[in-house]
Amino acid sequence: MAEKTPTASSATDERAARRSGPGRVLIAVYGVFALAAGARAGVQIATKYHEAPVAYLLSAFAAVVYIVATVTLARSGRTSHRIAVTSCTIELVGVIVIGTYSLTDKAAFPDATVWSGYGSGYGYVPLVLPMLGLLWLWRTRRAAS
Amino acid sequence: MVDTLAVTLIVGMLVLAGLSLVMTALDRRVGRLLLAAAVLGEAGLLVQVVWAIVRLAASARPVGGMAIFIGYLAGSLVILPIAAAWGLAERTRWGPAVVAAGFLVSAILIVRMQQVWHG
Repeated sequence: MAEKTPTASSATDERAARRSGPGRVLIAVYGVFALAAGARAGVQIATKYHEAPVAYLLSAFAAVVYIVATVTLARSGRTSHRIAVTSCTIELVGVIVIGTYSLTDKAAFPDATVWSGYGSGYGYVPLVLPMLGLLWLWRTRRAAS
Repeated sequence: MVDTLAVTLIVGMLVLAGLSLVMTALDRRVGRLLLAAAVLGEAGLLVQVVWAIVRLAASARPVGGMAIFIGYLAGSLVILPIAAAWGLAERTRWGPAVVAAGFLVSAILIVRMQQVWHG
């Protein structure tokens, strides 16, 4: 009975569950990616935007999604959970679509983005990370409800 | 950049990451050993920063771009303190895993700095 009613304590439990244990490692890696992708996109857009505007804007978009995922994974509450699921889904779809597109049409991506080649330039972490994120969100939600 | 220094640091970071993962496997929390390891790793990165400043002062320039190199150099110093604090706050076996991630990221940053330096 008490478990099914969303109370302040269950929200705290969920928050504690989501950012503790393996979740803490996940958030740490997400944070690094948010920083790396953001810094790289910033430098690319500031120094050589005209060379590959689409690729660099895509890098910037990916960076924003990583930042949102990092923050919402670390925060409590239903809204954060929902946004975190959306962000991880966008990352997974992005890395698969852009990964496939970059292999079939190399000319469209003269410079690598985080998602090119399924994230091969980043040790395929961009492919694995959203899967782990969704798995972790699903597990902590189940544990909380 | 001296390659011997970079290789030594990369191997050192990987060894310390391995040590951290052993602590995770043994179900240990972040303690004095891993904090000392983080301080050791940070000291190694500081040596690299000092060496980079010496080389830059001697008019050596990174082939891949000055701004990017300085960015990596500055970024390399903030990773381990954050990882150590974030791992220390987690009082389970996953604390050392966070520290391990910090060491691995540091190793990757040194590799990237080498690439930027040599172009």
